[in-house]
Amino acid sequence: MATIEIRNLTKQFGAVQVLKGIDLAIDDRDFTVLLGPSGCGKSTLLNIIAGLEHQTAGQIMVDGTDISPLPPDKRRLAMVFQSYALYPTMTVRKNIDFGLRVAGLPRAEIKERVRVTAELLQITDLLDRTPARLSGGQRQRVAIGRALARRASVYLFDEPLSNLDAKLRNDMRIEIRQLHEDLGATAVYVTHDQVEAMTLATRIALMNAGRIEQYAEPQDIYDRPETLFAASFIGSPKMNLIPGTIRLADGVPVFDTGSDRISLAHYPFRLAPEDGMPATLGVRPEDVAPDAQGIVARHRLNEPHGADTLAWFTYGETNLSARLEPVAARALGAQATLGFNLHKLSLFDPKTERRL
Amino acid sequence: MTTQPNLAMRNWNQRVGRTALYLVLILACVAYLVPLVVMVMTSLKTAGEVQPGTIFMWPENPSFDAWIKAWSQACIGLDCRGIRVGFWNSVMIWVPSLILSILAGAILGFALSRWQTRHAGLILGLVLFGAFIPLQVVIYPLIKMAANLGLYNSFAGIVVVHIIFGLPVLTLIFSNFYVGIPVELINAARVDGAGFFRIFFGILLPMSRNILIVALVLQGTGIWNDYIVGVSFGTPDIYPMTVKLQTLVGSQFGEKEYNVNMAATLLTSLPPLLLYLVSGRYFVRGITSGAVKG
Ligand SMILES: Nc1ncnc2c1ncn2[C@@H]1O[C@H](COP(=O)(O)OP(=O)(O)O)[C@@H](O)[C@H]1O
Ligand SMILES: [Mg+2]
Repeated sequence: MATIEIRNLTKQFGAVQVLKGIDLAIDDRDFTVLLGPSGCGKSTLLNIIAGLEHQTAGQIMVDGTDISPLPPDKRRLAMVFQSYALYPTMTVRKNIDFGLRVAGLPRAEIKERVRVTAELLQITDLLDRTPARLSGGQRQRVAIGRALARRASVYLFDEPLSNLDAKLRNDMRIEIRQLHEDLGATAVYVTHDQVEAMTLATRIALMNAGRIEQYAEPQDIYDRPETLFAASFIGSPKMNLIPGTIRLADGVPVFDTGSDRISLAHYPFRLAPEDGMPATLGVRPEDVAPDAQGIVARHRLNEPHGADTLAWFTYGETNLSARLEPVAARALGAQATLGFNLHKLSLFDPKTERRL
Repeated sequence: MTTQPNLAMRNWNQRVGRTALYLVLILACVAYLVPLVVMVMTSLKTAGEVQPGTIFMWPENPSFDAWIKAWSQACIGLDCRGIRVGFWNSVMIWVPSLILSILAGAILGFALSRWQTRHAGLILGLVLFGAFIPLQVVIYPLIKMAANLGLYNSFAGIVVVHIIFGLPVLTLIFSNFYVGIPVELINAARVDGAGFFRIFFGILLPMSRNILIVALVLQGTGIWNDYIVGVSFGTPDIYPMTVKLQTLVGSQFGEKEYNVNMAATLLTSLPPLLLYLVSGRYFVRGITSGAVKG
């Protein structure tokens, strides 16, 4: 049981401002993923939540109280690290119960917790081994076990799967998700891998250069990116972005690319659009398809993925991609007329880079 | 086919190189070993046998008499209890100096490398600077200070001085070693609620075996072989073995008993030698590995 509320948090290392005012309200039992490119400040934010670093300014409230003055172990949280950070000279058992011993729990309770944790993670057979004699996947399980044994109300993960191979990563992802559902704890999970973020998160906090660009459910971020950064960071391949101008034709907005016009009749503008406003149009590859009407683009190549094929085009100076049925992709000629799903467009102000 | 002579040439060159290498190595061995062999031979001779011009001769009746005399009967000044007095003095200095200086260096090294210590860089710089100050420069003020603190002419005083002078190098060695340990490991322990000393003794120290042995050998030989601290901060009652040896060997009175002197010298150099023999393997490993993960 824990809600986390971060208020106007900043962090400075010398002259470098790494976190530039973070506001984030994480609900109880949420699985929030901090997603962003390497170096954007994710680990720093997580370490500050954990109490391993101190913020320059701002507050972290857990269940309404500011935990900033508390040392890490008094914050009722547990953490799993990227390098696993297992104590190399201790057995798995000692690794798991180190924190419990430090806390001075009764022996019987420690024993019971280790037993339950080991069973949950299926590492009972490994309890008397040292970390050096474990595989990468086993080490990861032990690291998670060590965190679980603390019975924390907040679990923090710093890229816990990035040292595993792809297959193991997929398995562990499902397992972590299952664990989270079973435990009902609040989790904050750092990753730079958008697939991990999309599959694990109840909500994604997308970070860029020390700021949170958007905090929303994965599908929301995917469907309605709040900024140009969000549009291009999430999705693979990224959202197609086409520069142009907004025109009003008899009061009905259209997007003018210079050579073509795309109807914006269905676009839910937040503020009434003005004629002649510069804008960037965003459309996902799966919302682009050959059509009777639309923009005319040059077909460059096909990239088959099995279930579907990515067809790449050039339109003016921009590259466009479309996710097509393999048969439809193969039928493409040198020129194609592409239509967009007009209900799924995004529009951005190129100056503020924010959604219109 | 044209490569054939080339190959032969290369073989020839290689063989010449090898021969030269071994020659140099053998010469170096001889240079080191001959004096040692002479010392051992002389120490096994009787007093009558030791004469000018015979130092390369084997002892006629090898005996440990000179060793026994050096250990328990030789007169050093007016004290005729042999070099053993110095040996036990040295042990009294050696053991606490070793344990405390290595512990202090390791703790300071940890604090300056892997703990969020304020001004860690500055302190490390000062420590580094300290490593370059020769003992002779500060010895006089130190003696004055020791006298004021009532530490002059006590084992405790000598131990403290050894700790102070060992600290710079030991701190550097250990902080260098601990920098190689991932911060995440320390952070994991902090989340687990462990404080500075719990982390140090519970997690870092058990990981430090190789570097501890390096420190042990360095400090062990350094402190055992120390002369200047012992002679400056002590009086004959607590002189370490090296000072006793110097007094014995340098004595101007009576006939020089070279066999006894050699035996006493060998006895004095034995502890560091044993240290090397016991820990040599780990020493090399510790020196070369820098940061050990496991
Ligand atoms: N202790 C530190 N001192 C100085 N700069 C740091 C420190 N820790 C992190 N940084 C810098 O802060 C930025 C963000 O780091 P980090 O939070 O680790 O990023 P991420 O986890 O998103 O990859 C990086 O540019 C990094 O170089
Ligand atoms: Mg990171």
